[in-house]
Amino acid sequence: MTAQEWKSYGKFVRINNNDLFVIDTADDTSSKETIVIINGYPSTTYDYHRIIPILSDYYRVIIHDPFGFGFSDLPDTYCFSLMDQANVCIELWRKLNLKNFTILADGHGSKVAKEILYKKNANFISFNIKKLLICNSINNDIYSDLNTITSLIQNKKLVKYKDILMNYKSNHFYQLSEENNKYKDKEKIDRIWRKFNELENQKEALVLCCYNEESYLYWHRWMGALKETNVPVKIFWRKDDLSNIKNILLHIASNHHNNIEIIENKNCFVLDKEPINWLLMVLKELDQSIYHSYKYEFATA
Amino acid sequence: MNIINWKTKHQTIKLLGQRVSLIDTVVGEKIILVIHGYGMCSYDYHKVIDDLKFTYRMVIPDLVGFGLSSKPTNYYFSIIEQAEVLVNLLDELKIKEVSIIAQGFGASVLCELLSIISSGFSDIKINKIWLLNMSLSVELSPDKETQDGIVKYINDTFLKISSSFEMFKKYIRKSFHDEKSISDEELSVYWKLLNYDEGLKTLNFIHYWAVEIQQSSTKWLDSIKKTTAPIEIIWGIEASSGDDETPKRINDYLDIEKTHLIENCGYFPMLEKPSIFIDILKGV
Repeated sequence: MTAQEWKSYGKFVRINNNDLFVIDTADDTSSKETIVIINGYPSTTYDYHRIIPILSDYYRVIIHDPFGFGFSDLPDTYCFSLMDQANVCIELWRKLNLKNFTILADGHGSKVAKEILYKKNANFISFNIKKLLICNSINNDIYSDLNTITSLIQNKKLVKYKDILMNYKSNHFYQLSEENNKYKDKEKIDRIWRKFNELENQKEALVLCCYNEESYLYWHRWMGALKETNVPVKIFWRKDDLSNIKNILLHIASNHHNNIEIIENKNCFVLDKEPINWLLMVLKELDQSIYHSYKYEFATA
Repeated sequence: MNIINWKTKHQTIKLLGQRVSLIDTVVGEKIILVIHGYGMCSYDYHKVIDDLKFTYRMVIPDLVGFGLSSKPTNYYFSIIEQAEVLVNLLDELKIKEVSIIAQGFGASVLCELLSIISSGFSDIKINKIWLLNMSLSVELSPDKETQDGIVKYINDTFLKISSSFEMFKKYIRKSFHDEKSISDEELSVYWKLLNYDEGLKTLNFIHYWAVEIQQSSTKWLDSIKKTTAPIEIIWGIEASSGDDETPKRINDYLDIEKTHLIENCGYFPMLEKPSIFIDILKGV
């Protein structure tokens, strides 16, 4: 499927005076249960193009490109924050008139989902969330070509970079930086600077800066959201995903509730390599009867 | 007045898992909600409340982490959560329309509150806003150096303040133009309120709020620009106030109805020039 074909499969919904690209496989009148997918950085709706047609046989599936990604607009005042993304999700679901649904959250999307869960606990929203599935289905290889940027982001002075990026006036900050000796090579500075000035890389850096900051500012809030909720939550983990193992351990350490189940993705399925196996793994936890019916269908096909 | 007398003026409500202590003068059609600055509490208003209560119903909560409210000592209680607590408080008191006085850190909480309203999570109507000293100082800094300067000034001051009562007295007095405007007795009440329930530990998280403000300032400035409520500025402009440039910046950025610059006054207009403060609020 080409990107243009994918675009024709979806529609645009106006949110805060900008266009949001949304795939919605059914409408209000459908008798199917609804499942909303909150995708994580840096995936877009297109990463799900192999599984959505299958999933839509059983569910009304709704997924959107977050602002600034895929086919969605990049608003002027948008600050790429997870908090803002949660508000966009809520606004979209209100517009689509959703009442009752399951959330499937992926990667950074899981933090957006936890924020929504928090708002639900605090009675700010009236949706009924049936279930929450949290997974990390994107292979981390995708980050490897961003090494230059990520090494900068891991730097403690990231707020400074963000500010410079937002104004991108000069590259003096390298000379002023305490880590100056790292950048003695003048040509390297220019190269990094050129990379920064390409829109795509600026976005990368901005997004990751914001996410890092929010992850520690609101860590307690989001952990608390999982602790206090009555919604059944299932969390998938896999042994080759080190960053997530830390989160899983924290979940286990701080939660003793029956509604949270932690499931190992034993074969380390990821969405881009084994979409069908990945989907089967998710369906198994979502609905046993649908899982068996699709497994049978897939085996006979 | 001592801390026990002060406590009797308060009532307590449990909101979002936190204990919120507040003064509510109950009577009156026109309601003012006060959002105090960082490290301070409802005690800021003890000199003006008895006059104002005849014109307005005054609702003055101690923000979570300060005064007599609960003090989360092992994690950061974010500005977003402060605003959510206030939205819940107004719901609990069945208040639909309100005017707001905000100072410093409280102005950031106010911006988040406006953003909660504009995102459709609450239908509270804001009638009028008064911004006091240090409001939006960090958000409206012209450049990174100024912003870092303000944040460093605040963080350093609180580090000194929290070390001992003597240091506390010294630095609080410094924010007054006339150091005699605040008595030893008042300072001792402040110190006890700051220490109440292991409150000094909440100051461990002071550097987080600067990060949060930098993270959200675009969103917040946008939401305060969009509000239809008329805004007035009340600002003590002597050097002791720490910042006398921001009123101009706020005027450049927002449509301000009136700017009241108070001479011979530092950071706390309600403590240093109570009668002028009352007249401004009453519209005299």
